[in-house]
Amino acid sequence: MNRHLEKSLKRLLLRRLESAKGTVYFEFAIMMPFVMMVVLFAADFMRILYCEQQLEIASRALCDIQCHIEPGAAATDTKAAAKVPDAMAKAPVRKYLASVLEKELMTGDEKSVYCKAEVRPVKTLFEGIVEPIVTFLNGGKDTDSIVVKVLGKILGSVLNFLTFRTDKYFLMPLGRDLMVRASVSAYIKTFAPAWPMKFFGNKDGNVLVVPYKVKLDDSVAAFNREVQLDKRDRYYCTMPLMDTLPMAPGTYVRIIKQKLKRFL
Amino acid sequence: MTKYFDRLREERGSVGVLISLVIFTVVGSLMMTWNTAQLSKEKMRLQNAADAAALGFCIWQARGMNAIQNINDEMYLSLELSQTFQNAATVFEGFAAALEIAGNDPFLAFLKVVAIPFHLMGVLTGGISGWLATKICRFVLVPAGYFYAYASVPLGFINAQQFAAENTADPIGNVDLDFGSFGKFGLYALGISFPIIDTVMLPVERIEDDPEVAGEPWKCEENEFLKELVDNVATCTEPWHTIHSICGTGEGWEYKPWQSKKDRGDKVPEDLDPDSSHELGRTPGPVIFFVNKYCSYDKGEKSHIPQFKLDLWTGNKHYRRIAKMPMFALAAAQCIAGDIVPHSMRKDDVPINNRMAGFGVGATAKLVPIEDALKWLHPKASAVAGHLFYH
Repeated sequence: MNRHLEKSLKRLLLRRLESAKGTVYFEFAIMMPFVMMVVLFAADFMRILYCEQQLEIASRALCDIQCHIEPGAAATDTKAAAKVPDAMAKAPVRKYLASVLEKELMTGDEKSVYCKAEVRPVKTLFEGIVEPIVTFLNGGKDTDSIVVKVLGKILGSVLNFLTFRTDKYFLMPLGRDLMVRASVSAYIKTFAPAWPMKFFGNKDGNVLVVPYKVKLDDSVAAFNREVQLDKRDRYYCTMPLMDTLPMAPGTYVRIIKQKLKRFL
Repeated sequence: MTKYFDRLREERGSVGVLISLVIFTVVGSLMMTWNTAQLSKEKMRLQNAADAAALGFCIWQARGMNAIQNINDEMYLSLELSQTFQNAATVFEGFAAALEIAGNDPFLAFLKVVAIPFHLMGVLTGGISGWLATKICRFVLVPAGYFYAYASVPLGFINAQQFAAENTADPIGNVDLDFGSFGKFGLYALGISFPIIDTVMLPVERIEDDPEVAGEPWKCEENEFLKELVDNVATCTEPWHTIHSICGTGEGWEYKPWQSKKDRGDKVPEDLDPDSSHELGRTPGPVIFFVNKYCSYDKGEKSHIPQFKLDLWTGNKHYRRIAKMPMFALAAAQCIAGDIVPHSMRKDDVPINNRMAGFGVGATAKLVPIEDALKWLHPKASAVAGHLFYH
């Protein structure tokens, strides 16, 4: 009897195993993790592509705004012009842009959008000639030599005096030939493992992919975040500074004329 | 044999095959999407490059226009200031002359000594100020005016190359000239302005030998009288006459201001009414810039896809060709400015630094539609461009 039962059970099991019923579900259950991984990968992939495009647009927007910001009295004041990078660093437009992007890009964490903008001289053919002269006559900003600084200041003052400061008509427009370079970068947290994204190479892009579970260090200040990001100097939009020097420089002629007007 | 055919007819394992096909399709479409997104991103950057090149060019045109307007104002101010001091000098010389005439009396001979400081003041204020103003204008302001009239456009063109290169554009034709330690130079952005002459220099010209237009301030009855008085007084004593000759009193003055060119074909009003200055000259025309970029699907040398490189400058006889997909972008910009008008042609009540609209206002640059830029060339070209780019 038991042998008969055993045989029939075996036959049943074998028949069941040989049967094709339910194989679809079984195979689907095996393939499901791979499918889910592909779906998550696709979703993350699309999100990263969207983020990259949005960050490119944001870089252009940031650049456009920054290049229209008047650098105070820097049109005639070289000391104020030197402070332009600091002023731009504190500009509220960058904080606003970062806050908008953080919500839109759903990066999953606060303070994960990093805006950067700086002002640089344009490398015209005169870079090797005009910039050193202007720097020298303003007292040698980047040199440690006291002799160079003093000599530069003296020569600059003599030139100013002899020309009644009209030498600024030559030097000022050339010295204000500046460009604004801007970039917007972001951390994107992925649901899928991060390594496939790195394989497809966002190395030169503006999106840094991190796994979902990684918590970004909130204590790091916004500008120090560059240490966490790749240190390569990448800028995604460069525009000319829209400073066309509409006002004339303060020459001695104008100063004397103004004083005479008040006096007379 | 039948066993294999039976196996093929079975449905076991079909899901795995189906899903692998689906995954293959999905991954393939993801790759295509990635390629499209990369190209889209490159196109955005290239458009930024074109915009930056066009703006960089026009910014220099605007700087040039503003600089020339400021130089006009500076020359006129210097002239006015010099004339003010020379008028003061005339007063001193008048006192000195009166004292010298009175000193001819034997009892009042000491007055000739008293006259000396007045002569000195006259020489200092009149002679030196006139001499200084002339020298400053001749050696600084006039050359600065010529510099910005002729150098603004080349500087703008060089700027355009720099901005295009900074925004990752490639040299046109992928040709980059390497001058070793001097650096690499390539034509990154090609631009043309309509009218074409604006591609070469600003639309400005100096007013030559026309005192009615230049409006030298001493050409009025009061100053003519004062000038005559100075000349007469200066001849009273020989040393002072010599010193006055050396210092000069504004002779040889080169106040030849700049103005916008009047070749638009509009009629110039006879009375030169400053309110109609918009008819007197013209502003620079819009400029269109072209940039290109050779995009590739591979990542350079690390790619497993074989590539060939065309190398023009190494003398390598084994030529290789890069398989690349070119794209290009166009942008148009214009320098927006009021006409450059010499100070003397304005109304008397217009302050110098706060210019009225139309009197050489602060120039700036902005992007314009290509359709509008081509209107300067031909209306039909503008219509074609409009259909191509915007419709």
